[in-house]
Amino acid sequence: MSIELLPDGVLQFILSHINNGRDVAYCNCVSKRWKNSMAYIKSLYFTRNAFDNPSHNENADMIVKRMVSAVERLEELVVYCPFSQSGLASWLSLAGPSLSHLELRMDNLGDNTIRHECPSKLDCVGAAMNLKTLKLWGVLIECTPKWDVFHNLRILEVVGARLEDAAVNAVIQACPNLTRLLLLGCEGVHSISINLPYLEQCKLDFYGLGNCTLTLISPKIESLEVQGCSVIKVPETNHLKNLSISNSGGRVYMVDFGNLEALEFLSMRGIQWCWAAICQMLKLASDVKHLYMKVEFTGNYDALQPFPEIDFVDFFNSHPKLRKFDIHGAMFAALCQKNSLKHVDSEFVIPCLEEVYITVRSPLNAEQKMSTLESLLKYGKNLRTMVIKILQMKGSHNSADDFFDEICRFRYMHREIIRIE
Amino acid sequence: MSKTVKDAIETIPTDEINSISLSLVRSEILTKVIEYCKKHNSAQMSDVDLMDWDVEFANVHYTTLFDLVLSANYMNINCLLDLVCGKIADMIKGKTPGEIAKLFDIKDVSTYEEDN
Repeated sequence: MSIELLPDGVLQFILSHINNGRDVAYCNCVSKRWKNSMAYIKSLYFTRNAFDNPSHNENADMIVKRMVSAVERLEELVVYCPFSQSGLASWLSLAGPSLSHLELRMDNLGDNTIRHECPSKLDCVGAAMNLKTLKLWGVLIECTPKWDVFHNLRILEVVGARLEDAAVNAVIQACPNLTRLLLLGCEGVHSISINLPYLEQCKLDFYGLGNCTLTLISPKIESLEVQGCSVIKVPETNHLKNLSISNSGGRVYMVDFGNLEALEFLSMRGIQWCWAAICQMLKLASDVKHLYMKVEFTGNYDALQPFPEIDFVDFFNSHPKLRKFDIHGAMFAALCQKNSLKHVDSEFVIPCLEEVYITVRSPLNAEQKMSTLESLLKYGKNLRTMVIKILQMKGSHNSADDFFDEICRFRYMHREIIRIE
Repeated sequence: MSKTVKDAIETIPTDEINSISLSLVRSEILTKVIEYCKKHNSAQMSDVDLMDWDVEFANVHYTTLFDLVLSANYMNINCLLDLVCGKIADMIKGKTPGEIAKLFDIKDVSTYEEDN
């Protein structure tokens, strides 16, 4: 049974699985029949090093153009190798209307001459007006691109970008039907306003001083991750299930959310959060099942302040559905303050808690910390796992050792549940 | 699982069915096709195990793969067609035109001046 005896349609179907530019070029050379069959592939991708060893006179732009033009109806194009603006324009003039998925390594963050070329690579993307998915790597979004509206675009992902507020806000406005938006590793944002009625997943990661302002109006939002903002306003959150707020560069100053009754997972991380913001989040997330808390300091201004006491009983009473709890360093210390466990009602119980992960960094207040660990075990009737991670201890040699011994003894007594890392 | 067989069953009145004609499928290949259909119809294996089983199933000489492709095409069994075509495509990927021609014993290799 020879491959040449397979009917054309079958050969075309087999070859439609070949998408790597290099493989496509090789298949084109096998026979005329194979070359004709390659016209029916649906997707083409070019790796970063696809044209590292050009053996002929043509450059990457021309080769990609030749391959794109040979395909009847290209639906997906992924280009990671370097290319020019005119190359991109030529490819999209051929395949623009049929493309539903476009992924490009724009690579225009470094070179100054490229930065101000007109039209820009970003402008050219507008020719693929029927896109459903657009992913851009290493892109400059400093001028509003000359785009019409991308009515079909559902997914927009930008990784590694330099942005200007007006331009990125305009980009988002040109994609009104997005369900998923990712802006990762982005610099230059100060204030971003997202008004997308169908957005369900949003992940934002902003570099810089950590003082960005975010306003998000998306009533269907289910999952939101934000890094690098100090003011966050999300008024409609009836469907929000997963929320993660972190700020490694600055202070989380104000959080303004709608009702968070559907919230199952909340993560609060960062160097510094204003105390009011922390209390606000904990108060709203009363039905949360998994809570992750790792904030180093509090304080409303530049001065970093330690946390005030968090009452153990109040905390667990206000989060009765809590199943999994991650608490680290300074916040764990705050839960261990002297008065937390003074007035414990005999009826008090932590009903749903099954897993606890604790990071301890300092041997200060060792007695209170042990008491809190014991209380978690005592009142957490369903507790199955407790993992205690001990990081580099500050303070004197002896007190650190003593504390470590205490924890080991505690672990020994409850071997089935406790684990030390 | 086979749309061809399903259509045949649906169009021929039940009391007249003794056999359904699958004239283009050789018996050894039909055995393998039946083996595939039985495995995929039984609810016994997990998705991961089934994928591993598929890999083993498709690990045969390419001439058998071509026969399976034709049978799956004729019998209209989409998942088997996808599996086998994907496997043949995997055998093609990463090979130069000369290597492809040698692997599948293709005689009339053209000499187009393609790049890379």
